[in-house]
Amino acid sequence: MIYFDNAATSWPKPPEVYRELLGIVSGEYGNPGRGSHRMALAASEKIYDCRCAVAEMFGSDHPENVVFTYNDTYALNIAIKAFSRPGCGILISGIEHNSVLRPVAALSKRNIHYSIYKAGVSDEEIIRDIKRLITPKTRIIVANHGSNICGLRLPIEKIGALVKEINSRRGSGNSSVRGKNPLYFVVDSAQTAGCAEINIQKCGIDALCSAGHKGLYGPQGSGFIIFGDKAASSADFLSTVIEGGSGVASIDLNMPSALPERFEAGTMSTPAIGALKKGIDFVKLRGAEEIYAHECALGKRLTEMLISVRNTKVYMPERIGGTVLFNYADMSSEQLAGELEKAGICVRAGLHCAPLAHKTLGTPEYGAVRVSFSIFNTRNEVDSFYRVYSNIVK
Amino acid sequence: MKEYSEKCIIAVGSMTFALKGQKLFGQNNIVSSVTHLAPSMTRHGCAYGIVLDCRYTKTAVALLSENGIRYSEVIKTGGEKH
Repeated sequence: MIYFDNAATSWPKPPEVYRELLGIVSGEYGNPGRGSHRMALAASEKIYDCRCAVAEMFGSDHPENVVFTYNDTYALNIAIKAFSRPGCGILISGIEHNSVLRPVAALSKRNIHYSIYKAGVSDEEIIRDIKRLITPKTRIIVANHGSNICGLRLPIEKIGALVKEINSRRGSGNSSVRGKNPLYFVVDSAQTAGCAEINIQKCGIDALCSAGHKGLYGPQGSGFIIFGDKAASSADFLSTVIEGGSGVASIDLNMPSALPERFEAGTMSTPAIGALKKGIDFVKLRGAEEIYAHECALGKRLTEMLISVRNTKVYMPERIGGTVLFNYADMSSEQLAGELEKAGICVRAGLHCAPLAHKTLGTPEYGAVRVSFSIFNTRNEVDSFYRVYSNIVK
Repeated sequence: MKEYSEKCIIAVGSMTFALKGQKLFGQNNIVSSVTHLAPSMTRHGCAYGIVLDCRYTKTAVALLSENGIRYSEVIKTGGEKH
């Protein structure tokens, strides 16, 4: 079996991730943040260790600014809805996943307007388009750092610099946002966490959202937001999305004012979060850049092979990454993926929950076939894929 | 000879801050542990505290402040044999 669907979830995971997952599920771990008996404390420490690992990996000095969620979609929903206010505006890019598009579409029914800025063009054009669309009411800019359907990445450092500049002009500064007219920068790093160096301070990110089960090699059920210092300093000013038990300040009807508990209602998944820490350790050891280079090498090899096949259309072949998107003639992507599956190759067909990104790329209504790599994929697997594909389309 | 030293609890808002404080104290050679505080001990219900020898309270509180860890109060408990 060849697994080429790592943009959906990475497989396999490093052995230490499985060991930790099993160890926590079967070990003496209670409910994290719910009491201080030894088992509750053991679980709390697992969660806290992972907070520290996440914070360190993405350049935050504050582990308490790391809020765990069940996946990236929850993270993005929480971040976007925490920052939004009635009557405000939101800018999103043309390569956003439904995890961004659907929340902003839902908010648009509540007097919140959203616009879409260009993606898939030069960095300068992207910045120019954001400047064109921005209004005094714009409160949030969302950027998908890496597309889930091709190798396209957005220039988050440049967008972050623009956000800083606008905040400075608005007098919102960087220290606190209370009572001002702040502009927040939300980044979706589902596809780049673990295969890109991301520093939230350097990029001026107010909320970095990600999944733990893709490039960070953690289990499904792990995701997180890292809030920047500006947002964290006024966390009590941010709207909550889910309310419930937090283990502290139980008499108060409101969620706690401080991070991370403000956004962590209910029991956290200690097994998933504890095992995510092992995934992060693995990525740190291998190096995000090295992992990305490996995936790009496979992406380049496959792209070159596919381009050589008559009637094969590769989308954005110039943006080499760990994800390759293509179609064959007028064959539906589902049919092609089905043929590959019969030969033991797992790929994803269709729209990949990203109709907006497909529209930007100009793929047909039936979407396209996506191949996505991880550090565990090999050149031999790419070559086998090519042989199978060539037979299917001959 | 057995000594008696008073234990103090520094109340913080969450388990996260309790663990952060405990690690910080450990880095500064202050032995501490994390405890759950009963609702009757705080104004808002359940909270967490860092238990340590009262002799180190001043240093500990300064460390928390330097590192942006908010604490609500220092609670003195009875003497403990060690």
